[in-house]
Amino acid sequence: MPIHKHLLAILALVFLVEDLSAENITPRIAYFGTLKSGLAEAERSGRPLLLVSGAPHCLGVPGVW
Amino acid sequence: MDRSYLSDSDVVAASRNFVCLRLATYEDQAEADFMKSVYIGRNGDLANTTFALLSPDGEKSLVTAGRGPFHAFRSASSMSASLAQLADDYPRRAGAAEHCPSLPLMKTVDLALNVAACDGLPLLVVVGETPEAAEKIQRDLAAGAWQEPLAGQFIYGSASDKRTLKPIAKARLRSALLIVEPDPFGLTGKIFRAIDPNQSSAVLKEKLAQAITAYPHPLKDHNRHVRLGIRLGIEWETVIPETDQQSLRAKARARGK
Repeated sequence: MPIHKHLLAILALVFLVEDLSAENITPRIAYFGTLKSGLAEAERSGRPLLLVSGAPHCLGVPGVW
Repeated sequence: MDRSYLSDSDVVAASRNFVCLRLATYEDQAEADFMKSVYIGRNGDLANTTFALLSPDGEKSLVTAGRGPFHAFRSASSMSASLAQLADDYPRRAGAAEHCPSLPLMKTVDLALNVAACDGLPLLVVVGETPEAAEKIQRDLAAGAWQEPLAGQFIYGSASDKRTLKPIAKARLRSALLIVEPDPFGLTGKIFRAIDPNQSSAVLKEKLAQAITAYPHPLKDHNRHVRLGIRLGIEWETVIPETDQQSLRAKARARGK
């Protein structure tokens, strides 16, 4: 196979992988991080609130809920 | 935090019709007062975790509030069905733009680093040389941040002074979108990617989506992480005193106090 065909095949593979990975982003809940901003958005949009709270530390150790 | 409910794909889809608000317990007195108005623990104090669905003014509970969604729902599927039903009762305000015009910033970059480490997500820090410059970048970025595939994929912070950037290695006070990978304890971070904010919304959205797919999204062994943190003498200082007695007793036992 000529070199340019190899290159085309590689490029096609790169674009395919990029496209597939973008589709593989796991959907997640989009949270407001402060009460003030969340209440302001609820007032603006009229949407109800889903409130969650958690301490970002366990036994005082940060980096885990 | 109950991930079996809150990471369920149907719950995530249904959450788009709600304003989702996640507060860091013990990091702000006014927020703690609000959480206590919604739910109090068995000893009458603020609990470590809270879950509630509330009317848009925050005054009325729409389901039984508790420590987690399991207090109100038997399963993730019953939760997603209820969310869909409740959303019908609170239609979007007529004339309101579909997407929020502001970014979901955390109160401080320090706290945002910790929360990003907890979630295994990248921290996106909007850096401006002045507060006005940072606000302009935030506005330019806001609409895209609430759309797929970016919604919920970053924890956000903002900085317009050098002191705020101190925990992030090699960060400079120059207008940029810094995608930061926190250390496992969320106390420091390193720049994963730096993006020039002076690009079209479409280009920025594409570059941020690429960063998400490339980001390692580290997983943690919870118990091993906590044991290591205690052995290293790492202890998070809350802004207001902790009040969850069960948690305080466990902490004292684990740290030999």
